[in-house]
Amino acid sequence: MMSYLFSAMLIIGCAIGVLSGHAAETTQAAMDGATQAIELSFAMCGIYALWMGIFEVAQEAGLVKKLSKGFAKPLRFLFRGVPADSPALGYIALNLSANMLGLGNAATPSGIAAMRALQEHNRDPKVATRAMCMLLIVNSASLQIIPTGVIAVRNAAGSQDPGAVLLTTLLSTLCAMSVAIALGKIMERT
Amino acid sequence: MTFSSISNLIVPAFVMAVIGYALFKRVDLYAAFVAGAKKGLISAFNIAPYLVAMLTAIAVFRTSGALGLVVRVASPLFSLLGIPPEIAPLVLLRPFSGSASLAMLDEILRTYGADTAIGLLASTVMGSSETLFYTVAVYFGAVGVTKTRYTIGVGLLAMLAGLLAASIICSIVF
Repeated sequence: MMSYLFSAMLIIGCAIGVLSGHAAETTQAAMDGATQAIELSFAMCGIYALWMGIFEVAQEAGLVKKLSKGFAKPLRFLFRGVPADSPALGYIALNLSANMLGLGNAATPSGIAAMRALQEHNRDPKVATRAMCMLLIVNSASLQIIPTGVIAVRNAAGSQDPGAVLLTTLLSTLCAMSVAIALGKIMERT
Repeated sequence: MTFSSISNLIVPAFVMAVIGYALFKRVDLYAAFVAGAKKGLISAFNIAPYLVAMLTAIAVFRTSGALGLVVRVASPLFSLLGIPPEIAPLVLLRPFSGSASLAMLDEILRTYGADTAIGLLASTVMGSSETLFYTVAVYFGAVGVTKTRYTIGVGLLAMLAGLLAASIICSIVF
């Protein structure tokens, strides 16, 4: 899937860039995109290191296990096949709550910590497990209680009521998440 | 802005709770932190090549005008589904880039007004969807998984469901 996506975007992009006379800009965009990726990775190094340092402290203290026990029921349903004593479930709980609260910077490191823990139970390290797919799926359609970025932009754009979309966002994400989980569960059987 | 001040408090409270509890449990705190930080650095390095692939492809697709072409082709489809075509650029940009779609939301809000039907729907759609391709590159990149199976298909379908739900819910609420 990633190979098709990657090649389709590059081939279609390059073809249209050349045909529409934007060959130079397209070439420049490729260079800029690659540079931006490395700049972003460097910027993320510090943030990931900081958060995963704190998560490690939490795990050593037994907090991650406590968290996974607290959310045991929904997690057992969504991530069947993950051993109950795996720290992955605790990190997943952390990741999903950070996502719902709109804490993007904290959500990604806990997601990565969860992926690392899940990878330990993976028989083929190149192929995603069901639990990994489910984690990404619930992440891409996560319940949104506080859409922080949107509220900030609405405020900046002069909205009289920046928080007016809280309810509609919550309800829409509820629909998206239900569909996501249902489809994910169906695909698990294939 | 009370909501963002609440979320500003969550992070410091979380850090204090973790450190405080670890002190109470007599964990070798400093060693644990450094060990975790090392894992964070390794992850960031693992992700870098995946991010180069994804961000390069996205930049080429956007700058060449291919994305604009998709927007033009898709706009009539949006009207067909009862969704204002004005938000088509936002919806199509959303799975590729978080910062670009936030900028697009800003433009829509300034053009049509933040508190109009289009502005409210655009805000809801933005808040209820994710940067799918970026997230997939980062999460799977961190552990070196290249076969992502059904993740992207389901993610995109869920996004479509969220979009349809947003347009129905907004037309009822506002």
